[in-house]
Order: sequence, then structure tokens, then C-alpha cells
Amino acid sequence: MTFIRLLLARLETGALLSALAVAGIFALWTSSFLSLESITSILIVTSELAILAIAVTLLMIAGEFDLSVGSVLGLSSVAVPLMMVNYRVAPLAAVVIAFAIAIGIGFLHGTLVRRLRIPSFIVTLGGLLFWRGIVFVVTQGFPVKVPRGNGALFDVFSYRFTNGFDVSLLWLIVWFVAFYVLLTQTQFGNWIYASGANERAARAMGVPVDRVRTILFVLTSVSAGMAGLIQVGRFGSVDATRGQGLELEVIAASVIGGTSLSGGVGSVGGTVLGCLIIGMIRNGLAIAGISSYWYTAIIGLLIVVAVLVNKSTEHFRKAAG
Amino acid sequence: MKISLTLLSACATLLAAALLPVGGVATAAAKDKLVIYSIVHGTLSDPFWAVYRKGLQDAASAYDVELRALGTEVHSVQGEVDLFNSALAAKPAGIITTIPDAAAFQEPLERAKAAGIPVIAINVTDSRPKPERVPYLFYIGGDEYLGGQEAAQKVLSVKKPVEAACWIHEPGHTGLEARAKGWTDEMQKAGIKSDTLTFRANNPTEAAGALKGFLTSHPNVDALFAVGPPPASVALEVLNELGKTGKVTLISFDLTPEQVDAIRTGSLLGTIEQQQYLQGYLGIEFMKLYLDHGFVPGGSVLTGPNLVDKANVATIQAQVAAGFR
Repeated sequence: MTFIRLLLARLETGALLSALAVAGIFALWTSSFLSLESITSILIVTSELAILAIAVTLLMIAGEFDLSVGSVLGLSSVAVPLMMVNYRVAPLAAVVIAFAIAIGIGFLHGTLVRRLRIPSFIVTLGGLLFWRGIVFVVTQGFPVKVPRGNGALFDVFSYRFTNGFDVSLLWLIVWFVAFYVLLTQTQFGNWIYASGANERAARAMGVPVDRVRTILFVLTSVSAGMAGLIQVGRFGSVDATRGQGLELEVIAASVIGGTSLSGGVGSVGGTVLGCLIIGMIRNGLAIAGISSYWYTAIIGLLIVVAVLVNKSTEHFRKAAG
Repeated sequence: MKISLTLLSACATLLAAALLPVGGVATAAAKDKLVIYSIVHGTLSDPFWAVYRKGLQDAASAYDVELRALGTEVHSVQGEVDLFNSALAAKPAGIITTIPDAAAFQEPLERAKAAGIPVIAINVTDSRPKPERVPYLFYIGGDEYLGGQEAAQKVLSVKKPVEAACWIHEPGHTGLEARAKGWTDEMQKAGIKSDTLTFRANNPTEAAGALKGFLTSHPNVDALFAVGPPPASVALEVLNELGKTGKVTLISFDLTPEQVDAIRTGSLLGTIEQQQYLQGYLGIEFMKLYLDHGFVPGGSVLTGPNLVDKANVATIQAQVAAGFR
């Protein structure tokens, strides 16, 4: 009984049970689901999504949203081959500039939210439309290919080995460890929770709420840039719609993983599990040959179920302190 | 605790309820049948892909194979590659797929080849010569470039435009680009300047505004090539609103009931169809022939271009109503 209480007190429990349920259902449904090819395909989808969702989770815990991540991903990934093709920029320099663009965008969003007191929902909704518009303007809507002979650098971001595993999984591990330590082992992590749980109290206690949130906007944009570069490495080309619709998918993954939309609650592990669930559903439905419309319906259902589970287990977490 | 467990059980039940009926259908399929996947870069409920899907289903029934037809929720190369990877994991007998971006498909197609899973390209593919192109068996579909040329030739057969334009509604789609290039090259050969418009048509109101702006600022344009049904639909409406129906000669690509009506009434000169029913049907048929006997045609199997105009629209109309075109 105590074990069950302890389990229910964990924020990740709902996502873990859902992940097990989804894995179990698909494993019974189709034997190919547990094959190496299938597992590695799931991990590729999970890695790209989770690198972005982890950062978004921290921002949501701090009480803010970022709806622009898909567009920032699109812009930073399209910037790399575009600079290489049009301006003969060296690949490494193009990557550095792409990250600089991402940092600049994150800082701009954070500053607008802080200085002008505009809700982050509005600022990043504007960002979603503005940065996507820029992508269409600079590409004229056409895909941009990474020039031949420049694969080596991009293999660092994504390279699929013959056994099916992709380098992006290593980047997910790096991102997971870094953000997990940041959130749970540092004073900055405490500030993140405090900023989202009760902003006024946090400010009264001397927490630099604005600085915390600005840094998180920057980290979110950098993560979007990272996910974009992984896709550049994976596909060797970037189209103007890259990352479109991703903003809702990462928020869905965070919520399924136990993150609260009202701030103050969330975990890195839960979000990775949320991304894993999304990856498994995408892959499992495709293997079974089922229409992708089921995917949309199931994710919608899971979001509501996740919120219900988290609500119903809230008192266990409070009791556990 | 009671509430939590009840909720958890409810969640599990809901999830199972959502998944199992579909799973039941999937697992009920005969296990001895050959499994063939079809993957496209758009949604299968799109009228164009619905006709393609009918071709797939008819052939799957005729040849008694298990068909698993997949498409992305929205136009997405990344989403299609993810679906392709999942299909590979199922180790099917064969895969029929569109290849809208050769670079993005390079790695998954090489994995399919290494795994011994034959792949036939349909609808849109890597148009480079065989030694350079991504690995697949052969292509079944329209020749997009020839289609664009035929559209231009049809317009030139009725008038010599002062200035022309071509509207690509999914910029970056290599097939649509090839259509536009065929049109532009043919117009240039005739000494006519042709502009290329690249705004999207998924929001018809916004697209109509953009087209109106273009036609107003380019009053000399008197011939327009819409490379698919969405821009054709918007262009018909805009030309009507501007009172330019017939003055700006409109020709399009692919076939919908709206385009058939427009050809009958004369507001659309004609449309180039690629007979996508054949792409689905022949995709399954050729895959089965390859799997059973190893047959590979000497080159691409062309299902288009085929011109539909006032001369043959009555015959075609019945086929559109029956879902074959």
C-alpha cells in the first residue's frame, strides 16, 4: 500500500502507466512493434520531439508558454543550408550562426514578455507567425538542400547506424541529463518551480523571476535550433514547412508527462515519457496500417486522461511533500 | 485512492476502447496474404488521394493482398519519412511510395534495399538518371514536365497570350515544380513571358486576395496555369469576381467535379490529368507481378499526361462520379 502511495505521489506515474499500456497494446497487436527496426524508429521520433519538449516543459513549469518553437526550428534549420548555398558560409560557421539566431529569438521573446508585460502566449503566437513568414520569404517556399560533400559535420547531429540507432538518441541523453540536473539539483531549478507556482511569493523571496524566464526562453529556442539541426542531418534538406504544428505536439507531450498548464508542476522524466508515448503511437499505428487520423484522436484523448490522472493523484504528491 | 484507481481504470479502458476495435480489424486480416504498404505525402481524404486509394483497394481485392495505406495528416515530407521507417519495421512484402524529396528519402530507401524490401515509386519521384537517383525499382505516374508542356501547348493552340502565369500552391513539391517548368519552358519557346506564383492555397480566402492582387497589378496576364485543383478552384472564383472569365484563359492540372463543370461551361479551357487511379491500381499489380515473377518494366510506367477538354469531358464526367478519376 505504501509502495502504491509512493508510486502515485510521483508525477511521472501516469505517463509511465500510459507508456506501458500503449507498448503492451501495440506489442499484442503486431509482433513487429518490438523489432529493432521499430524500436529505433520510435526512438528517432522521440529524440527529436523530446529535445524540444524538455525545454518547453521547464518554461511551462516557470509559468510561460512558447508557441513559436516549430517556426524557430524551421528558421534555424533552413538558415544553415541557405547560408552555405547563397553566401558560401563554412558549414561550422553556419551552424554557429544558426544557434546565434536561435539565442537572439529566445532573448527577444523573453525581453518582450518581461519589458512590455505582454503575455507569452501572445508574444510567441506572434513569433510563430512572424518567423514562419520569414522562412517562406527567404526560401520562397522551396526546399533547400545541404550541398553535397558536407555530410560529415551534420552526421554529428544525426547519423543512423546500420543497427538502426541514430546519433540523435545521444543528444537526447545529453539534453535529459543537463535539464534534469538543472531542474532538480540547482538553485536555478528551485527558482523555476517557484516562478511558476506563485510568482508574487517568488518575487517577495528574491527570486529573479524575469531573468529565470528569459533564460528559459533562450534555452527553448536553442533546443528548437538543436532539433532543427538534427533534422538537417537526418534529411539532408529543409522544406519551408519544417516544424509546422510542432508547438502543439510538444505541449501535448509535456501535459501527458504531467506538466501543469498553470505552472509550478512538471518533470523532465515525465515529458520524455510523454514523447515516447507519442512516438510509440505514431509508429504502432503505421505498422498496423491504421490511418493517421487515429493518431490525432488518441493524442486528444490522452491529454484529457493525463490531466484527470494528475488531478486525482495531486493529494498524494502534497502528502509526500 | 478509490478515485485514483477508478480514474486509472477508466483511462485504460478508454485507451483500449479507442485502439482495440481498429486492432481487431487489422489482426483479422488473413496472415498468409502478402502485406503491401502504400505511403503518400498528403492526407488520404484529399479527393485526389481518395481516387488513388480506390485504385489501390480495387487491385488489392483483385490480387488478394493485404493493403496498408498510409498518409500524413498534413503535407509533410518528414511525416512521410517517419511513416516509411515504421513500414520498414513491419517487414512487408513491398512498399509503394511517393518520393517528394529525394534527399530526405535517400537513407530510408537504402535501408529498404538492404532489408530486401522492394519499393516502387508512384506519383512523384527522383527525376535524375538511374545511376544518380535514390534506390527504387521503377516509377509509375505522370510525367509532370510533359504535363506542364501539354498545358502550355493547349493554350497556345487557341491563342497567343500577351503574358502568362503559373501558380504553384505547394512550393517545394518537386512534381509541381516540374509541371511549372514544363509550362514556362514551352511559353518561353513561344516568346511569351511567364511569371511563377508561389502562394499557398490551403486558405482559399487569403489565396484569392493574393491572386486578385497579382492579376490587378499585372493586367497583361491573359493565360494562367493552376498546377492543381486547389489553385484552380480559387482561380475560377477570382476570375469570375474580376469579370475576367474567358479573358484570362485558365488551364489546370488534375480533375475534380468542379473542374469538370468548369470545362463544360467554358470557364476552364481544360485540365491535365495523371489518372491517379492507375497509379494505385498498377502500383499493387506491378508489385504483385514483381514479387511473383520478378517482372520489372524497361522504364517508367506513365499514367499521364492526359488532356481533358470540351471534346472528351462528357465521357470523363461519368468516371469522376464513379470515383475512378
